Amino acid sequence: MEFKDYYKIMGVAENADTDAIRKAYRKLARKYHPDVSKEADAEQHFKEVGEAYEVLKDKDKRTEYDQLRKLGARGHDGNFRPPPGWQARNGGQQTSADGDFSDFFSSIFGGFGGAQQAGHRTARQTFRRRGEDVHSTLALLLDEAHQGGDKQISFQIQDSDEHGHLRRRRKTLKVKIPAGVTRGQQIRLKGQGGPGMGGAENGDLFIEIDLAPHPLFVVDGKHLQLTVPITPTEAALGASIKIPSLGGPLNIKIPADSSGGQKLRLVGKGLSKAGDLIVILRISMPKQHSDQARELYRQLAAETQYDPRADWGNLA
Amino acid sequence: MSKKPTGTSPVSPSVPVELVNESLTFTLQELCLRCGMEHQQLQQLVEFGTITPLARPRSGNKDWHFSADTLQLLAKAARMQQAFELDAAGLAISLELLDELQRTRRQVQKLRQLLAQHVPL
Repeated sequence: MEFKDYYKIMGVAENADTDAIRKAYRKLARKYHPDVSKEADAEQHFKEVGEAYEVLKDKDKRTEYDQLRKLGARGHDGNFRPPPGWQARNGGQQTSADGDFSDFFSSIFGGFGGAQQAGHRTARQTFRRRGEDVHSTLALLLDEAHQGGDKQISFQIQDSDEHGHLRRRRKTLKVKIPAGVTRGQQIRLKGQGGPGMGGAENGDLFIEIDLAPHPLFVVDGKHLQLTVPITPTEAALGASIKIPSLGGPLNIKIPADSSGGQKLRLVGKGLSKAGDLIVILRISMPKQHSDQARELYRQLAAETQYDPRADWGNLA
Repeated sequence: MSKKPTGTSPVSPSVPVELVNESLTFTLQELCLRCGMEHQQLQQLVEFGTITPLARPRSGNKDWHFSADTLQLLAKAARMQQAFELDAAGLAISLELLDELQRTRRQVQKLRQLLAQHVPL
């Protein structure tokens, strides 16, 4: 088991007072809170900081931790081992955070912060509590969102062991994602959240769909946008070309006299059947032209009377 | 080191899913129960316009209904309130700005992606 140096995690001195510790916590919480942080591994950091604060803000816990820290109970491998005779505390203790704490924490202060007991002997008959809802996010590739299918998801729930102690447990489910979901779509799995206590209802699992960026398709709600490069001759003369779509390649017709930036709407070919694929044309030029092609362009220039900058008037 | 799971349930066969749409709504009471926030706090969030009832009832607050999205917002609200000890006003402003930030980031990502296909960045 790895020894957790809570002072180092919080970036405070060993003799820091409660006020300094609270300030350090606030700063770190602001930096790493998963809801507001842009840092990598924010969630992991936030858990560590939360755990450190849980111990250092509490006088009793801190004293206990300091003793243990001084004992230097580490093996040759640098790993932490509780000294012989050390008893993990359990029960009766108030833990404010709805903790998801490390093995290290549990070995000192007991499982799950040693906080609550699920079924107090005295209250076993009447203690009812609805299981907690779990909110999670599932990132899908566009193809997965389009086709739907089974995805395995893993999340933490709170339940109680055979002694009635609350604990965190990882739960894994296979979920059938319906075809055509888009970003922000919520899916509910009724009763798959935390188990209810004393016969109360289970919580629900809510999954919010997120979409991974795709190299070609840009997502716009249930619609998709695709930029399609075409040659100047295809734009002028019209053409039948092949383009990719989530359902497989499609043949589309570029109308004659098309222009760059022009949009073509392919109904029902978007992320879902209710969505469209919007093709945006982009005129692409070859990097070099042959002498003959140059000559043909010269003839073309002499032939066409087109000023694409006519809008500028006298400004240029 | 992350906490090892104390138990892992085997992967079950696909469980039934429900696409959340407008038909799923929650009352203020249900929201309190599910997100673990006080009735009064939620009422304040309604006053600040952070959460909005779907339709104003004829008789009192008890019949307020909220969309299912509210639940997710309040789950975030509860997490933030615990970490930052925010009052209702602070919470309201933070949530609103976070939402705007998320929408703006997505918009920027989308526009960048589109732009890159037309103009090499």
